[in-house]
Amino acid sequence: MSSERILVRGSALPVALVGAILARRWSGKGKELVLAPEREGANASTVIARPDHKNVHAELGLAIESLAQGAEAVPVLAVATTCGTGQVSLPFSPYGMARGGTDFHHFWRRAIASGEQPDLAEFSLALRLDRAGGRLPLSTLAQLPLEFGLRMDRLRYIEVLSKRATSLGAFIADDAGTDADLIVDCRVGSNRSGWIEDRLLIADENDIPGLEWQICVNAARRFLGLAAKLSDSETERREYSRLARAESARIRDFRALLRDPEPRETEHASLSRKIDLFEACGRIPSEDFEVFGQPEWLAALLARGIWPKRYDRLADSIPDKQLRSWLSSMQRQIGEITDRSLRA
Amino acid sequence: MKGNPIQRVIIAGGGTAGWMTAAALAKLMGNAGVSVTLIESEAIGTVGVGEATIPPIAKFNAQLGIDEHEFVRETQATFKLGIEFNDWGGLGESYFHPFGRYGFDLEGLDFHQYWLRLRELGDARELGEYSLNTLAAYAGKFLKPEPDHGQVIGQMGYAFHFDASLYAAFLRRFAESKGATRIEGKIERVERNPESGLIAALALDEGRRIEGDLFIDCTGFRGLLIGQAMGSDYRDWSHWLPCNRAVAVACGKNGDPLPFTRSTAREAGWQWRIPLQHRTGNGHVYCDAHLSAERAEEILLANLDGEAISSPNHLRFQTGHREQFWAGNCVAIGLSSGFLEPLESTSIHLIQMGIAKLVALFPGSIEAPFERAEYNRLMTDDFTHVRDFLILHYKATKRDDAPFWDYVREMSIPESLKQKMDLLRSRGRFFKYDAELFDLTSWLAVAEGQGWGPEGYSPVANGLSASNLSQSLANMRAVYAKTIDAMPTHQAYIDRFCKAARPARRADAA
Ligand SMILES: Cc1cc2nc3c(=O)[nH]c(=O)nc-3n(C[C@H](O)[C@H](O)[C@H](O)COP(=O)(O)OP(=O)(O)OC[C@H]3O[C@@H](n4cnc5c(N)ncnc54)[C@H](O)[C@@H]3O)c2cc1C
Repeated sequence: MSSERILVRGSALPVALVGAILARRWSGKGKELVLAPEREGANASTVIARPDHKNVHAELGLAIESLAQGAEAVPVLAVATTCGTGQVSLPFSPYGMARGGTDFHHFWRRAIASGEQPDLAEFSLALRLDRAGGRLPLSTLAQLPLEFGLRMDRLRYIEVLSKRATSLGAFIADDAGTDADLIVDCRVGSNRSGWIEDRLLIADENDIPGLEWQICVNAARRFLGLAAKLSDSETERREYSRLARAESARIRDFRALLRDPEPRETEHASLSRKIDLFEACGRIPSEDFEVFGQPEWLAALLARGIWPKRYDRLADSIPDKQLRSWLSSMQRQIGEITDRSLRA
Repeated sequence: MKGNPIQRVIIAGGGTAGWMTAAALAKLMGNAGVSVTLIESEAIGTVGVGEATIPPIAKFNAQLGIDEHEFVRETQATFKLGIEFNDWGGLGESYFHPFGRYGFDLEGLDFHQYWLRLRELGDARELGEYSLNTLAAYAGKFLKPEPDHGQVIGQMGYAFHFDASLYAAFLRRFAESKGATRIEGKIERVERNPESGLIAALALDEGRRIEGDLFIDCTGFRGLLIGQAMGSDYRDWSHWLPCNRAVAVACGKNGDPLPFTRSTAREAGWQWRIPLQHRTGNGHVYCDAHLSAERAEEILLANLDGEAISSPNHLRFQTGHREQFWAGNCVAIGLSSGFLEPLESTSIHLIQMGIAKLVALFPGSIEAPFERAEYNRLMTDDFTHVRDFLILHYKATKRDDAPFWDYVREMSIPESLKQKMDLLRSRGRFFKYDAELFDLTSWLAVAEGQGWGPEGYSPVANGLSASNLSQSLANMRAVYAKTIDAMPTHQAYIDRFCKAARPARRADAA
């Protein structure tokens, strides 16, 4: 084999997504990229791209407007998923507004400590808009301090990505065999990730909306960040696997928090640290290579009944009266934006 | 917060660590009902040698609302664009570790991968030719980047060289203006509650007794509270960083101050040169197993830019850190918490990190096991990351002219560092941990500067044609050259915005 050949195979969406990202870089003389997608199931419906979509699609030269047309993309401000106590909405943007470097939820917790009962979700523009079901035009959204993902039609998104991958030099083959220097295996339901000899395994986990998309993006980027001569990559392989393991551990923790019957009894130090510290003082410690954002962790912790016993001392730096008027004006403003969006 | 028992913070020690902590807590926690008292003893004095910093210090000052030019003026400071390393990779070799970054990324790929490819195509230009900081440093230029200065100047990173004792005095004025109280006195005993083991009070000379809820140990290497009273052990890293002594001396300045620190490797350690507005700070860090104190002093004095204006100050240290930075109701900040040699000017930064984490995790009550555990974990990570970067300088040497260098070149290194060095060497790859201080620019500067690699480049860099690549990099060089031309000299910038008053004679010889 004179050129270096990468074969990406497995479920159609991961293959198209990983394929498109790799094709941007793995192209030209001496490089071959072959995509061998399996047929997507008949019940395939939508896919969620997390807020990182802005960077990914910009790199791929896919404008959000063209995704709106080509893949029926609509913005998503939060995703709903199951947790041990029912359903939880995980917002992509922070609750309320930080003040003097102190996260908003500490001020909210202080209001509760002084006898008020505000619902934290009332201070999340993302959750309010999401619940109200209003549609904000992309142009308005871009002006608000909101992170958003995209919900897209799965089959059409696959089509868009596959087209992009081929225009960048990848080949799509029904029966590509196994003749390759590197086989990238995207497997639904598998929980093994890593780069072992000539196999790059991407666990295609799909049980939290947006996760499948993010795992594929991270894997493709991680590989490109390390890609070298494929036959001589021992150091790179080890590093890839180490980073993939760290990512899996972060996902494992988040999933356990959401769904384990007793998340407090977890055997994983990184998760018990999050639970203990949050319960003690309302801080959510972050580990290296987090996949989920702080607002998502906060929503999940609260949904599992884990409450901070106290708030950050810095939240005491404004007087009671000022705190109350700040909270009510924030609530009012959020309400106004939400109403406007419903009329849009 | 109702019923919160932490009301009184007592800071033991008034060196850089003590006054930085007092300033930050008084400013940030004062409104939250916390009182700040600092005890220091003029009879004991401070180390007084921490003079070079790294860029995050600007953030610390900004958070306190300190005017930068005023701070520069008051502390006889100069600006620092990076560190020049001489004789580190091999005798006669030199490189620059710049703040800021190298070049501009192209097509989403790190700049240096393109530079490596161009080098493989035969272009011998150095990485430093694509660093605004390096170019400005050697041209003796400086301009503080402002948001409206655009992308190129925006790449510039800077820190300061300052007179440590003036900085402590400056922060003292600031802290006192924000309500911190200073007590002059010698701490003679630490009183602990016999049941809880927590610190209840500090007993001072003349029978005074200062009670508190939370105690910050800033007593320097002594670690009076954290070590002697709370028994937090010291984790020793001297097998990886064997230098354990230093001798420091100030000398008169020789011309305008250059905007960078110089570090010159010597036979069993290295020598620093830190230019201030009114004088130059110098020191020789060495390993006493390979060099006597007399010889170290001799080497230092023989290599000064100007005449010595203070007597040599000999110091001993042990590289490592406390197992528990926070034990019971005592938090160690500064030298009492650990020490990593000043090769990359990280000690004051670690003080800053300790303060930031303490504010973030400020305990609600005297017993705060989870906050404490998290603080200890984060500080251990910070020390470990810096440690690895420092070891890189020693391990990546080719020097074989002295037993000290043979030892560090051959020593085994932490696994975390080995993996990083392997990745850098093969194709210049680098993955930064979230909390890691030094980024790609720093690791690359040292690895490349000391001949450790990278040996290859990412094949993704082949995406640009050779002629396109060569043109892009030529354009970058032209942009940098034009920018440097338009910058004022470092001295002109100081003269215009932040020139210090001529010091009184005594301070001159500090
Ligand atoms: C050789 C060398 C070079 C360095 N260079 C740099 C550098 O370039 N950049 C950098 O960032 N850092 C550098 N450092 C580190 C820097 O000097 C320290 O981090 C910084 O000065 C903080 O010191 P400190 O406040 O913890 O301790 P100290 O300066 O030692 O202060 C201790 C304080 O505790 C008080 N004290 C002690 N015992 C008692 C007692 N019993 N009663 C009352 N008060 C007491 C003293 O009076 C003093 O006020 C260097 C350190 C060394 C050793």
